[in-house]
Amino acid sequence: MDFIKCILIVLGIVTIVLPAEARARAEWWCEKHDTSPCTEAELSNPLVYRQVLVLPAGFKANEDWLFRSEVSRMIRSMTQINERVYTSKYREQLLYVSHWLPGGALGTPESNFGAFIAPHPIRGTALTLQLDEVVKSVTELQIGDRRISPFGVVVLFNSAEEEHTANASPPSFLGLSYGIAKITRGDLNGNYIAMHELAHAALNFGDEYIEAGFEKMSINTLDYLTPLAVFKKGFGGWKHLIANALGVFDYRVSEILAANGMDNIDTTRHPSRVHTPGYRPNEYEHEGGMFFGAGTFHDRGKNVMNGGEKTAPDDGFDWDHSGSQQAVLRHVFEHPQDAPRPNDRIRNAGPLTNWPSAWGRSTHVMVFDADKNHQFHPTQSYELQVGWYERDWKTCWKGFLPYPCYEDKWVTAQKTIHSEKRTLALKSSRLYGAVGLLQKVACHFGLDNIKSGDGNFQLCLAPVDKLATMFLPTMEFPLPYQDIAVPTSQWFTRYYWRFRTDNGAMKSGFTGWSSFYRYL
Amino acid sequence: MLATGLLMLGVWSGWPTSSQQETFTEIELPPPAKPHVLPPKAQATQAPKRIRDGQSPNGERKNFTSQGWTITPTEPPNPLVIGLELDAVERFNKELRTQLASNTYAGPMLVRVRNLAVQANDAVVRELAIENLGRSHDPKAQELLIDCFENIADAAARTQIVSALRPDSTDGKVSRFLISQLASAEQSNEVKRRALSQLVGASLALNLSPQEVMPRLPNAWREPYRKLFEGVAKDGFH
Repeated sequence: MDFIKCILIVLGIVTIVLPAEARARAEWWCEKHDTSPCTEAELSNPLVYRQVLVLPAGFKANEDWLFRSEVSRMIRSMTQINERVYTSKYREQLLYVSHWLPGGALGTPESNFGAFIAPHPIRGTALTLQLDEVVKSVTELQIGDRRISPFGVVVLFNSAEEEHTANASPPSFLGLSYGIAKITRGDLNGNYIAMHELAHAALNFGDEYIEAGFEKMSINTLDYLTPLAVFKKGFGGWKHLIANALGVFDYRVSEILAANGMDNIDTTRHPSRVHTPGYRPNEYEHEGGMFFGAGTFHDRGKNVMNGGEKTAPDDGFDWDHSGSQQAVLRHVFEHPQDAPRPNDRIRNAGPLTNWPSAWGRSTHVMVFDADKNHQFHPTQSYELQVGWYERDWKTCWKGFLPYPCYEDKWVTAQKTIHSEKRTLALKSSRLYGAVGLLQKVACHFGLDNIKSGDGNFQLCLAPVDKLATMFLPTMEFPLPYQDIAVPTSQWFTRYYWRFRTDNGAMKSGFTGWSSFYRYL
Repeated sequence: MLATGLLMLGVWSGWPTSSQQETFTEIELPPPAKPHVLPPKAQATQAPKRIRDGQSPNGERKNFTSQGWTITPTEPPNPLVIGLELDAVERFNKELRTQLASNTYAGPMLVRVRNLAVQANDAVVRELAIENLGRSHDPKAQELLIDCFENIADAAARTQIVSALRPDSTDGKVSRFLISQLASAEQSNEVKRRALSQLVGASLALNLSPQEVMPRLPNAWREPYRKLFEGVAKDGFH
């Protein structure tokens, strides 16, 4: 007994003094589709071997066996499907890193990440948790072991329920290198949900199906909310507020949602807004996606992000991917160093009128770039060109009589500007009637927990009738826009400007020339 | 004399006239390349070499280069393209498409966008022009979209136009137009359903209840309006 006591004491001491890294290492494991353990070489090469991190929610301390077996079931459900689907096609390159975290049952104070299944105003129930707690947990794990580098996180809820809204927050909305998907054990009874939600969280794909009832609704309806949006970074102050009120800059909520990093969805049929020599642009032939039946567009080809009643033979659901999705998958799994296309989803976003935007020696222009927050080939920099006509005065002659005359000489200045993060705060307290619409969209993207003071506000829980009257906290979104200062000092001068992007592998073509007039 | 000089300077520099200020000139065609002769009065008052410090030929260049910019040779903007001229549809089609897709307009230029939508014999240019009008925050763009609808027979273009309309009140021009489409016997069901959806979207955004809007609608569309409104605003769809 004394010997056993000694052993236990030693083990206890070892456990207590064991460094955090070792403890973290002990609580996670990595496996592949065939249950074989991941090798050191695979774990150390996250660009080739993509990691899916699986976290538990609602599993108690003595339910680690259940978590393990359900993770295995999840892996099987995703990889033993049609060979054309990415989880099956690239199964050899997917590593499933599971991190065991004991907690309490769903809905209890001990539940990991505050996870619970809530009554939902739209579809019955919804999987809810605190996203920032998940992020904290991932970060701690990464600090403990630098090899952990997920491109998608799945939080597995310990519930057999299937009648709920599984959802995922895509990376471009979170502003992170991974997104977060939420599914239940019940969802693993089929092959679709886990794979589909992971496509949101890991590949940043948007939904191409249309929500029932929204068949003719346009995402442009959300643009009514644009005046409520306030930039949080970049040039600000009162000048921006005035400019915003006057519609000087052309930014819109529909683009923030549907043209912001998601490769397979855009707000135009022609996502390549500029011409890049040598690159043949793709067209998004079919209208619909991201809930709405109008104002969003996706590529032809039946695929796993689509669904519902579609009339065109190349639109709708299938265990497959569209052309644009396949281009992303080839980039992610086959050629991670080579961007498959230029970041050409760009346009000049203002100033639009003769707004004397410079009282002083600079003006701000705004660029829109749908690939700014692209998960895999975000824009690295912008090449901005500003042109103007100089007056080159000279002496002309009429016979023997000299007189002053000038020639207009075109001059262009150019500068490379790094892509910088911009966020926007949507002051939801004044949403009024559109609050229901925004609630649907936000809940769909898993943005159900909004920071409010020291706590969190559950957006998806509140009935819409009450939401419109409540003071809602501000929702923040990463933006596909960036303002850039231009040192225009010449009075009474029209300046022209345009820009293009560099994603590290390719430069796009230039936008068309825009212009603004500098008075004083 | 100084005031006169400054005034003339403003005129030569393109200072808008009072009428231009009201209508916000957006894009001005580049000045001609030939030597420009000053009117006689100005010749008497203007210095032939410099207008002012900072507007010397190199002044602005130095301003830019001192802040890290480099002077780089480019072609000046093509006046046909930036002017959204109809001639550019055939001669500079690619550039014109880029111009429409990557810029948004306000003021008098919107009429040129409208002209391209209505008169260009190119489906993509038409689509991009309609999209361009739909993007503009200028209220005139909405009126021009209605004008496009009345002048374009293409069904796809008409549905695109209707989805780009954004009423700003129950009795504004756009609302009245959308309601008139619901009442029109000739109009396609697709256009009518889109018109209804835009009315519902506007109602939500403008905080209007169904009771305020429904009396304005044709009888046959009141119940579909109510159902769509409630579905989107409240209970959702299952």
